[in-house]
Amino acid sequence: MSFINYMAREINCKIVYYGPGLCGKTTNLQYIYERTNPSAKGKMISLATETERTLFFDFLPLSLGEIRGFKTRFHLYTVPGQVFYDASRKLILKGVDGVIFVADSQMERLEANQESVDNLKTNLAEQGYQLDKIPYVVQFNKRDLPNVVSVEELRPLINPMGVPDYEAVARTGVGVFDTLKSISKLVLTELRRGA
Amino acid sequence: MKVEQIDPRPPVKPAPSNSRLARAKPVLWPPSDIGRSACGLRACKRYSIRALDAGVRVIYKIACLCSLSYGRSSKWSNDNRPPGGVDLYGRLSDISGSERFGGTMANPQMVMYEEEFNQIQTVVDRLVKEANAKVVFIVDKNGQLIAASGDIENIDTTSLASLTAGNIAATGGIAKLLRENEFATQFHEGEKANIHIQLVGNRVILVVIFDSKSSLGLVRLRVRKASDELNRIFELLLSKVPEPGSDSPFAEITDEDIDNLFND
Repeated sequence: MSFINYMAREINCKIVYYGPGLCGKTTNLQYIYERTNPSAKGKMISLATETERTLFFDFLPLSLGEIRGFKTRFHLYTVPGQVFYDASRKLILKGVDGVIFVADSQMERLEANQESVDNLKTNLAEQGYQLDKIPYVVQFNKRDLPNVVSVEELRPLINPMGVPDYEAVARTGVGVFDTLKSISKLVLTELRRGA
Repeated sequence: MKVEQIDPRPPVKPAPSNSRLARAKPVLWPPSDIGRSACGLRACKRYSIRALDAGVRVIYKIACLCSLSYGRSSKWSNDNRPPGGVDLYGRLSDISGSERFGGTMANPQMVMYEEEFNQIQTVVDRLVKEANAKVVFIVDKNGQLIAASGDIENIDTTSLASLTAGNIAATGGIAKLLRENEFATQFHEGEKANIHIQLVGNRVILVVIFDSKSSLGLVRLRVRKASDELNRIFELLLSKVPEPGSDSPFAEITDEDIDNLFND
């Protein structure tokens, strides 16, 4: 849940990138880190294995600017995508304000995407959240690869709720900021609704 | 060598007479095979070395848990201790289904007001002096930094806050798997810097970083006192949940305000 500090006049929100292993969650954060003004970002932390697979989480603090005199900060987290890290994924979802589901568009990862969406729903439910009640967007990543499933085919399988979705190539940055902006807006809108 | 004995555990809340806890055989804490004399850093080190000599890493870890991660429950978490099951120390707890990692209810939004912030900052400032610490900071369990004091210019408090919360979350996950409520205290000893992490009221995390100018005993003593104060302040803060439609600045946010954030 967001943390509003009236004394420091700032608001902090937590956004989690979710998705199957090797779908590009960390790559999203790395691109955001590389392309953000140094004054607006903190240090990026990656708790990863020696083979650069996320072990616990990646973390990137971002400052978006002021809104009505309040500094708006977003803490971006990724979860470890590999199936056996489920306990860690649950922990990272604690206190989440918005979720980005990064789907791997390749044909052979279709099932992994669906399993990951189901896993997201289950883990959110354990934290007391419902996927259709929290800010949520979907990113169809790796659109530059030759063996991708069309977005029209992916939508009913990965995004049946019809939340905002974006085509992306996280490696080159296509769609990365569009996805981030979309979830940020939804989170702030939700904040206004709850105010 | 006499080791200073400090018992940071709160008094155990008496269980209702018809509960399983009341029917259970009373259990001495800590278990006699570990013994209070093993608590305290120096004793723990001896324990560790002996265990490592024997090549038994598991014993080493248990010895450290004994002295530094008590699995202690705060008043708050004691009240919420789930019923059923028996934990490693013979106390009753449950580890069923969705409560395993963090409960079924999402945390409510935390709102910090000036009055409570000043009170918290006073406690933190005083703790730096009294514990002879380098840095003291408070983080909520979601990794948001609440207050900091001491030599914070040379330290990345945002990253520390996130990693500390991750650490507490991971340790909490381990605790639940062991049918323990929480490991409320952690201590990591480095060559130059040491870090003492204390869960306060099962909601916020009090972190003390100190060097050879202080000692673990002193830090624990001061942290215990500060934890009680902080617990009171946060309970008060949580009782001040703003009513919907009150003077929140976010009620007035327009779509244009939000769009303006992304103009760059």
